[in-house]
Formats: sequence, structure tokens, C-alpha cells
Amino acid sequence: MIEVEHLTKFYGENRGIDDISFSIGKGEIVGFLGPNGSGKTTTMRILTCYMPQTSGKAKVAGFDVETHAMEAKRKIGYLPEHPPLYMEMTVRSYLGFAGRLRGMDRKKIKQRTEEVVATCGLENVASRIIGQLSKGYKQRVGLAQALIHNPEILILDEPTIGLDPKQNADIRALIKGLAGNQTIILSTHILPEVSLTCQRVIIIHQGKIVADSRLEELTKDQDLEHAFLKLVGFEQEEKN
Amino acid sequence: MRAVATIFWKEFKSYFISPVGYVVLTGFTALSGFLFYQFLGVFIRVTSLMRGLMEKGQVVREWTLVDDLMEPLFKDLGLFLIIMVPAVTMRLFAEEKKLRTEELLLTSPVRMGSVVLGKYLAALALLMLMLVPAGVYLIIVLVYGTETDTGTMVAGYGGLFLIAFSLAAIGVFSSTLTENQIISFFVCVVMNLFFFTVGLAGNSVQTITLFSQKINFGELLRQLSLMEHYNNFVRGMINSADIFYFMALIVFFLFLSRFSAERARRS
Repeated sequence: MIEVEHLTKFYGENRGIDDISFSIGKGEIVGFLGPNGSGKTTTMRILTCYMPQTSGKAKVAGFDVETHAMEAKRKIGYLPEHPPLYMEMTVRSYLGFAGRLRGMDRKKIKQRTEEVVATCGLENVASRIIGQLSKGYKQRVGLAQALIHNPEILILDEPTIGLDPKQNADIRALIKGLAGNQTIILSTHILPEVSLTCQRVIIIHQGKIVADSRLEELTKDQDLEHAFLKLVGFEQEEKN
Repeated sequence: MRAVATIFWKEFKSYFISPVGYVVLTGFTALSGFLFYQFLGVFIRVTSLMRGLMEKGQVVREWTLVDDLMEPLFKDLGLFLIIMVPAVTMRLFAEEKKLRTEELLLTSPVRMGSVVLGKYLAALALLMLMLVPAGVYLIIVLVYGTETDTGTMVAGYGGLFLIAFSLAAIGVFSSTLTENQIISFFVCVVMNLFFFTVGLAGNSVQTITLFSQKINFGELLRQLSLMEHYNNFVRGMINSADIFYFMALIVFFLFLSRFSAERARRS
């Protein structure tokens, strides 16, 4: 579903990501792991056609993100790190707006809105103004927006950041519930989250992929935290 | 086209969810009403003293409702638009940047051109709502006035819409430049002032020689000025050249906006 080849992105002189390649098959849930500023968001933004790469190729559902951006965008549901919410809208009208942006017709929007409201547990707040909702609910509205057009690929940038443990568990359950139908990439720097939701882990550090394997293999002879710290080069600092 | 309609309705509704729509509508109506009342009062006082411009005891030009009431009124309402229009357009893109909602627009399968057009049309709709009540002054003068030239006044009123539409295109562009609405507002005001006043410089600039071609630089500046073209409308002259000027200005700034909004994703 997702193929990335030698993807590189420069921000002026600074390297955002450096020659990364990976491919993700249908129905996989992949955790994108790395310290802050390692290039997770950059990679996701290129995949969602938010910004163009400097060099390399990326294909989403068979469409090149540079040359066939419109087709690629239709296949993707994207929850950015900062959910793109219009604070003055109600949850329902916002979801309707997101649906129309994706070119859905009125009937379909109505049906899907009810579905995603139920999936994301928004029944109690569906008629309320987004600006008045708690952070956890806002995050869920952001997720509902990404799901509204039933995309084949779901890209979630730190979906659980800033949530309390209960909300965290809810979102995790939600993502697990989506498994099988959708290909999901989610980025995080919260390690337990990965082991609870993902089958495969891609660890990215300073713009390069340092590990790409199934979760079991990575955690075979050490726990995920140690494996992660070793890969991103923090181990020595710990010893000192 | 669907995308344009989607953006249009969202923006148009949000004018009335936030106080912006109400403030602009009441603000303009109150200010223009006060101005009309003042101008009319002065006109009545002056005409009760003398019938026209006097020279050596002779009336050389009679005061008329069109030349001495409506023309200055339309000119001043045009100046009002320099600050009313940016108030309408300042948030269109700046707010999306600030709240990072543009990430939704940029990752949705819609073209930036549709987004710009939808937002521009929403601003136009509000500006039309704002200008329609000003038609009352026209009706008052037509109903109660004598010897009025309907065509001239309607042309002036139409010119006011064209000014508003042009300034809105400039406003959309200045909104794409920044995430700060205040900066967006002032950039737009400055650009509006430039387009209003650039013609005034034309009077003091002589013909210049460029590449051994004589160019009437003063005339060039005058032709660039909104005021020059607007005044033709106010005086009741509708030329295709003036209409073309407004259209060109609108199209130019909308293209610039699209370009500038697209650039956001390349930084």
C-alpha cells in the first residue's frame, strides 16, 4: 500500500529525512518510532502530500504523491500532530465539512458521520461546539475526521499525545478495532503504546531508518525500551 | 466546483458564527448612514442660500444632487472600503495558518485554486450584503429629488461594488502572507492605499525616456490607480477599459494568492 524509496527532504541546509526506504503492505499496523525531531512528521507530511520531498519517490495505494497527489489524497485519512479543528463549528458540521472536502455526497456523509461518531465515542458531544470540548474529545474529533471517508490508509501523527491514561486506552482500543480493514501508520515516542497496538516497528533517528522489523523480533532478547535506546544511541550516555 | 461551494459555505457561515459579519454590516451601515445624513444636511443648507456656484453675481454652475451630493458620498464610501474590506478578508487564510487547519485543506483532494476562489466568493457575499443597504440612499434621492440622473447614480453605486471586489482580492492575498490577522489587516490597508493614491503622483511625474522610447509615466501611474477608474464610474461613465482594469486586478491578485498559499507547504 505504501512504498517509499530513497526519500530525502531538506529544509534549507538542514536534513529532515535522509534517504529512507520502506514498504508497508495492506492491513498492516506500523509504529513509527523516534525521538523528537527525528523526521517522523516530515515523512508523514510527504506521504499525505502536505509537502513535496527533495528527492526520492513515495507511492500511496499505487499513486505517486508528487505526480498523482489528488488520487493519493483520496486514499488517505490523516490526523496531524495538531488536529486541524475549526473551533467555531459543531462536531457534526465539522465532520460534514471534512466529508465534502473529500468529495463525498450528502447521503454518504450522513451515514458515515453517524458511523464515525459511534466509532470514536462522540455521541454525547456530536452537537456541541468543538472549541468547548476537552482535549481528549478534540483528539477524537480529529480522528473521526480522518476516518470519515473510510480511507484505505490511515496516517496518525502522535494520536495519543497529551491524553490521560483512560483516553489513551480508548484511542488505542479504537485503533486496534480498525485493524484488518485499514493500513495504519502511527507515530509516537511513547513506547508502551507501540507494543500494545502495532505489529511492526520502524525506528527512525536523525532522519535515517535504524530499525525496521516485526515487534517480536525487536523484543526477542531485550524489552522495547532498551532496544530503542540502543538504536538511537542513548545507551552510552546512560552508562556514563 | 463542489470544492468551491464547500469552502464558500463554510466561510460564509463562519462570518455569522463569529462577530465579524455583524460588526462589519452594522459598522458600515451606521457610518455610511451618518455620512449621507451629514452630506444631505450640508447640501440642503447650501442650496437654500444659493442655487449654484457664483461668479460676479451670476450662477455659473447649479448645484445638483448627482454632482454635489451623490458623487462625494460615493467617493467617501469608496474610502471607507479601504478599512472595511480588510476587516472582512484578514482572517481567511491567516486563521487557517494560526490554528493549523490548513493542514486539513492541503491534505484533502481539493485544488488550492478552489480554496482561494471559495474564500474570495464568501468575502464577496458578505461585502454585497454590506453594500446593498447603501442602495437606500440612492432610492431616497431618486424618490425625493428632482432633476436626478438615474444612470450616473447607478453607475457610481455599481462602481462601489467593483471597488469592494477588487480590494477583496488584495485582501485575500495579504491574508495568505501571514498567520497574524492584524498584520494581514494592515498589509491590506497599505496595499489598498497604494492603489487608491498612486494616481496622485501621476500629476507631478513627467514623461520619461526608457530604451529611447518616450513613456508618459504620469499617465501610466494614473491608469494604475483604482481611484482614477472609480471616478469614471462615479461620474457616470462606464468604459470597457475600466471594467477590464478591475477584472485584471482581481484575477491578478487571486492568482498571486493561490501561488502564495501553495508556497506554505514548500517551506
